Amino acid sequence: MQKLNVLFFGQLSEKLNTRETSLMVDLPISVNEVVKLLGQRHGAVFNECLSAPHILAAVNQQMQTNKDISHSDINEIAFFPPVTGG
Amino acid sequence: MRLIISESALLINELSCLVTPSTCVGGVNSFTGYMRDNNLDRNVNAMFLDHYPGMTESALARIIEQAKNRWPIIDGVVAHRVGKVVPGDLLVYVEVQTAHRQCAFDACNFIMDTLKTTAPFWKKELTNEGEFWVEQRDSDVIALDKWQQREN
Repeated sequence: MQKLNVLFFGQLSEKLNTRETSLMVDLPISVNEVVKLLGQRHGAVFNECLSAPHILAAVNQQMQTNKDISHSDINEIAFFPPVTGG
Repeated sequence: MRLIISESALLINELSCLVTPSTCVGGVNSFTGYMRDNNLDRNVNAMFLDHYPGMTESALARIIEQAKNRWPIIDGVVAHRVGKVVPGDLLVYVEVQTAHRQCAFDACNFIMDTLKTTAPFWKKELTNEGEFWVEQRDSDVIALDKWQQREN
């Protein structure tokens, strides 16, 4: 089992009422599998918000375009809406 | 290039002389973005800039590398404010120094277009009517697509 730090930013952190949580997970694991686990542990609102197609995910601070790819080296995952800097 | 993420005020006078052009520099182009006091017909009193510490720095460093791979950049600055800001505060400053002017214009434009759609910052406006998270604009995505199409 691996400890996975999970971060939320922007509007998503307000909707979920948290910036950070952690999970013990079996590796390898995909972004979508992490979403499913978060929904089981924290409630359906997590699954609903994190499954929205516009929500982006970064694994170890690298943007992910395919949320079904399994990662065997992962200790941080972040979820956030489209960015609006500048 | 210098990379700055700051929770305290960014000052144009300090940023604009941060990197003294070497004698091989022929052109310096910069963009300075400030917080407006209005958006979408609403008065905006203040704004909060959320960001992803660590990934923000690596994302901006990647953008700078991409720009350096496309243009012969000699030096420059990318600076971005985070935290609470008020109208008139400097939000973003990009400066590019090159031998010739067109490279400086293009690289500065590319860095801003890429930053707006790939760097992990999120703006929340604080208004008399409430707090509103800023939505990504289609025009920003189209601006980035323009650079990607030029590359292909």
